[in-house]
Amino acid sequence: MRITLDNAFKINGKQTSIDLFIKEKAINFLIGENGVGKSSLFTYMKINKDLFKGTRVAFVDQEKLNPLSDLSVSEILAVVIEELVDVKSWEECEHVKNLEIEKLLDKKVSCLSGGENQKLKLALGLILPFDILLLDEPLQSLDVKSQKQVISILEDISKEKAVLIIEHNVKKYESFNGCLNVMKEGNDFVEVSHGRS
Amino acid sequence: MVEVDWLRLLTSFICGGFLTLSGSLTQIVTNNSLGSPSTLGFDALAALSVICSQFLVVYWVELPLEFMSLTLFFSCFTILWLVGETVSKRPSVRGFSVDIKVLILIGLGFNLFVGAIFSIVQFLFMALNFEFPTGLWFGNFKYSNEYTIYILFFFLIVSVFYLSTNAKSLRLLSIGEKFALGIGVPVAKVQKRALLVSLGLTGVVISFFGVFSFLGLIVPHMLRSFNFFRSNMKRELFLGPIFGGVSLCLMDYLCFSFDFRGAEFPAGMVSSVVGALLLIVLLIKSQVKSFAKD
Repeated sequence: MRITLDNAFKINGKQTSIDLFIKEKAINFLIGENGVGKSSLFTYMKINKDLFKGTRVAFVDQEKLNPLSDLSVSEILAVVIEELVDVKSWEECEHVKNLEIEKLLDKKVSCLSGGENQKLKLALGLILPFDILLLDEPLQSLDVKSQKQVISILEDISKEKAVLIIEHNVKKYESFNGCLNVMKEGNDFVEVSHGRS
Repeated sequence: MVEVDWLRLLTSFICGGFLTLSGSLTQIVTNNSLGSPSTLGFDALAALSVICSQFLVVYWVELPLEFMSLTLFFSCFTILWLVGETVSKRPSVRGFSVDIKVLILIGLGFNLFVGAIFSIVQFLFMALNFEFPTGLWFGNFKYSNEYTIYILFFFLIVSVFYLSTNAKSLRLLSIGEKFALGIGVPVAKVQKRALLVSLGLTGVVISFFGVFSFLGLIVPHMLRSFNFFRSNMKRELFLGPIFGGVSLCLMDYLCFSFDFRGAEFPAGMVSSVVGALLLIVLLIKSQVKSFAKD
């Protein structure tokens, strides 16, 4: 899928032009320097879902999840299942099962560590129905074992669906088979390009 | 045998419900269990309307004070609504949601402004030999009548309709605004609507019966200490107001039944004292809990 848009939004007073390519059945990346506007682009795509032309997209955020009521992990999953998904339990979703969140289920979100909170966000993203999975720095705060676990889950997903990861360091992902989109800042513009014709 | 004033009971019940719902909504929007209509300056706006109406009914329009206050309050409400609509026509990357920090600071600033205005107004009242409506700060249901109950019923229908159409979005928003945005909840719209409903409900109660501080803050806070409410925001939204209503109803009934040298204790005064103390206890309790965890 190719998403092109001129003058999408402004970052630091500079207009952003987007030419983003998301290859199906592959892990794609969006890279760029700090502060160039990657997370803003992520938010922009959330607001303007029509960019994806009806394709179902699930988002996994960078910020910690911090619900108003101090829910436990299983309670949050229950809310999402009840309101948004057609399954009876998170265990029916193979990818969430592979995240090994059993130990976290009874923990309150306020007591989760950064890595555990990240796992919860991943679980919430994976439980939703999607054709494209968009993740903003999905490996942050995770230990080496969990990082490998998440990468392997993403590789599994990419056998059937498209994955787009916003990341600084692509080297962590060994079997990278998708498109590398680059976001960079010019003098008076910001652009996203992928080098494909 | 104590005589029961059913109209007054019903009025206090509905008002307690309104204030509780108003509190729950501001807490969801600010994602903070200390968010309340008082913090955001809603109480101050309504109180200011009552004070200004006092002048207007004497010098300009011949309307009962409470209806003048309500009219003035809803004029401000409409202006705020229109400003909100024009300021954020289309959500942007940075403005996809209402900026809560700015909102709270504006609310606090407005509270200070109203405090300053009050000292001027109090001076004017003295200079013009008017009776300052001190009762405003001590809300009570002495003046409930059948007209006020009709208006309360209208707002009750609006609230039930609002809740039945927005409960799902509010529940998802209470998990986190960025998460809600990702799953397609129009965050800014839902937040604005919730703030307007909260403002409207607070305004109607204060215009008619005065200020009942802390009720909107404390009832949702307390309900969430029970698993039944904590685990499902919809229960808090739909059943919480019933608990808030019963609390205010009981408070008013006790105040009505036990007078002090012939004067009735205003329920608003009792709710402020009890609510503030309960809030301190709850906050200390939660701090002790988090220390114990460490």
